[in-house]
Amino acid sequence: MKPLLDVRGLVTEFPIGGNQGLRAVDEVSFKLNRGEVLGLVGESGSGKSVTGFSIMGLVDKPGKVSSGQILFDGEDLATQSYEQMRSLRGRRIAMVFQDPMMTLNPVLRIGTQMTEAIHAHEKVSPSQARIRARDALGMVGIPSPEERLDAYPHEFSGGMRQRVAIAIALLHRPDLIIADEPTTALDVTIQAQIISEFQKLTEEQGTAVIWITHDLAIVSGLADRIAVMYGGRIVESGDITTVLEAPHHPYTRGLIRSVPSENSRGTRLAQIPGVTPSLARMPAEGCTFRTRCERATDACRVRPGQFGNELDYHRCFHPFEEKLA
Amino acid sequence: MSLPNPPQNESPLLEIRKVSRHFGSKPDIATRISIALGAAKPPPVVHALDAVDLVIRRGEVLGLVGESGCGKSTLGRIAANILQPSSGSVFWKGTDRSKLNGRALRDADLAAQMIFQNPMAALNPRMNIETLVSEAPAIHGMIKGSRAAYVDEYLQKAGFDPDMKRRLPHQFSGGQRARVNIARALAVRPDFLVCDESVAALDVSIQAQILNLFMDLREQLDLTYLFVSHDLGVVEHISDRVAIMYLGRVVEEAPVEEVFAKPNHPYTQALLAEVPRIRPGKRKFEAIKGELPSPINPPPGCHFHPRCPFATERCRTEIPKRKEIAPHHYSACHLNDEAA
Repeated sequence: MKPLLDVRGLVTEFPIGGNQGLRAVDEVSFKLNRGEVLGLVGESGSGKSVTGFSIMGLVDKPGKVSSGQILFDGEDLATQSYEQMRSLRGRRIAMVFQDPMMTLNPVLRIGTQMTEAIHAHEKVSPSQARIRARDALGMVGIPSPEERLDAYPHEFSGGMRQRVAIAIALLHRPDLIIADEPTTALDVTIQAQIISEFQKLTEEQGTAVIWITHDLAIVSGLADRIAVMYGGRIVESGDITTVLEAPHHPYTRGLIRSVPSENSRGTRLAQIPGVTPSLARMPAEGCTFRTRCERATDACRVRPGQFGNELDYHRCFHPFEEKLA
Repeated sequence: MSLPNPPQNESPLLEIRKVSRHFGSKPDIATRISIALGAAKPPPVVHALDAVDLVIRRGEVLGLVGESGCGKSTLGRIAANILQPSSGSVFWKGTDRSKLNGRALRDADLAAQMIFQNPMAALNPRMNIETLVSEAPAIHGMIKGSRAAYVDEYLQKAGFDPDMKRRLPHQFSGGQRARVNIARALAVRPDFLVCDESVAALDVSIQAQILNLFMDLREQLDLTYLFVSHDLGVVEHISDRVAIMYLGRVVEEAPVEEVFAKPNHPYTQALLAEVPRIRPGKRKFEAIKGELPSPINPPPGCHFHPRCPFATERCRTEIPKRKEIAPHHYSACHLNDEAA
């Protein structure tokens, strides 16, 4: 089966004067099939959000996708014109952001914003557009959707606002949804409600999802595949169960072990030494993680390639082979 | 970790008795007259806390959990004495805090310090780290020798490199700022720290470092913590006891193992079912229906009854009492009466 999305060697750079550029995304490759959920995991500054923006063609100037391919259903998004991208965005690829208050226009009624999104891509009558907007609200579990169409964003709670943002993303039944930390600002109970809506979507409509997050626990219960990013690169990628049970890369391992669990009570958590350096201070050559890695040797001064096949791989010269205790 | 067992006759570090806290505008004289004449409605009042009882023993870590808007931060602020209750009383080491004055009041104030959620907002951007950490102890005359040495000592305790103390807060990362906040709180030698979502804004790997620091400090300095958080995983990791809040009330209180193994209140059960854990294999996310009602107009009876799958007629009218259902395990739910 041909994958829905095939990202190959994606590089996104932000110029910093002269001929130099900061590589926020550095040779990132992954594949995604229809109905699949990919967890794109990393800490602040790892490049996970910029990867999402690059696929959407939303990288702010002067930053740009400087090399690589983003094959979406066979077409390379990196070479599309502005108009072509505009007709894809919202229709076939949609994005849900962390803060729904920022995505919704505070002075327009929800119904207006939703029908606007429908009219952007399709010629339908206003009454038909309204019916579709209402159905989309109902689908994400908003009670009495007909009346809520006339409400303003501030009249909704945080969880309800995020549902509205998801409903807007669903209007055109996109093939791919990029969700950038969609539940980070929400309470656990509301978070569970939102995740269950996404689970229904992937099962019933075959929508593919890239779930961008720093929270390994959410990804472990939701995703089919995982890609862990550090310093702009995917350091490990693979099937979710395999990676969580036996992570090869020292960073993946450190990340999993630093999350408090029911077995960690009363003990010290495993620490990754140091802090994530800013992109400008990342080691210029070799493995970006080597300054914090306990296994680093002189061999790590050379840039590690992808070890494994094109789906399941890691970038480490000294990988762990044993299972995580 | 075993529960610290203080002598029976020792008074707890902090005892909160029947504390309520309301927020709302005070109507002026004209509005009061029109309210009295029935021409205007009284201004809305937020019932942030509703007759809360809570005991914090010396040396323990009490985790305080709940959804946003349940009043956990208000309770934390009252415990740290930066907010006064509308009614009820707070006992500090056995004495009513509202009766304290002079030196005793100052000592009680200094002994309870708070560490806030946003480490940048809590630091004055124009003061360097040295000034930030030394200001309070200098004013209170706690620095006997050299000021620089005093600051260095506390920065080191918090794992912050003293060589960088001349820099300003914006020059540091979130994790380092969190350490500065901790050093500043420690610099007045408190017994009790209220941590209000202190690790929520940090990345996972930095969060682990700060949680370890909290545990080290507890052992070194014999501290007591009230750890306010919405993150159940973090609370489970660090706490000895846990109190669960829902809409201004504490609904359940128990030792940490007990509450995670045998949650009693339907709200606790639903909340714990939602803790995301790293566990390979897909799971179905099923959530409690509905959302937290508004604290301006809380439902009568048990606050949780509109979302509770077991609610009966009694739950809609009568406020459930807090009962000891197992040793040290308290829960406020009518269902426990029927079971008995």
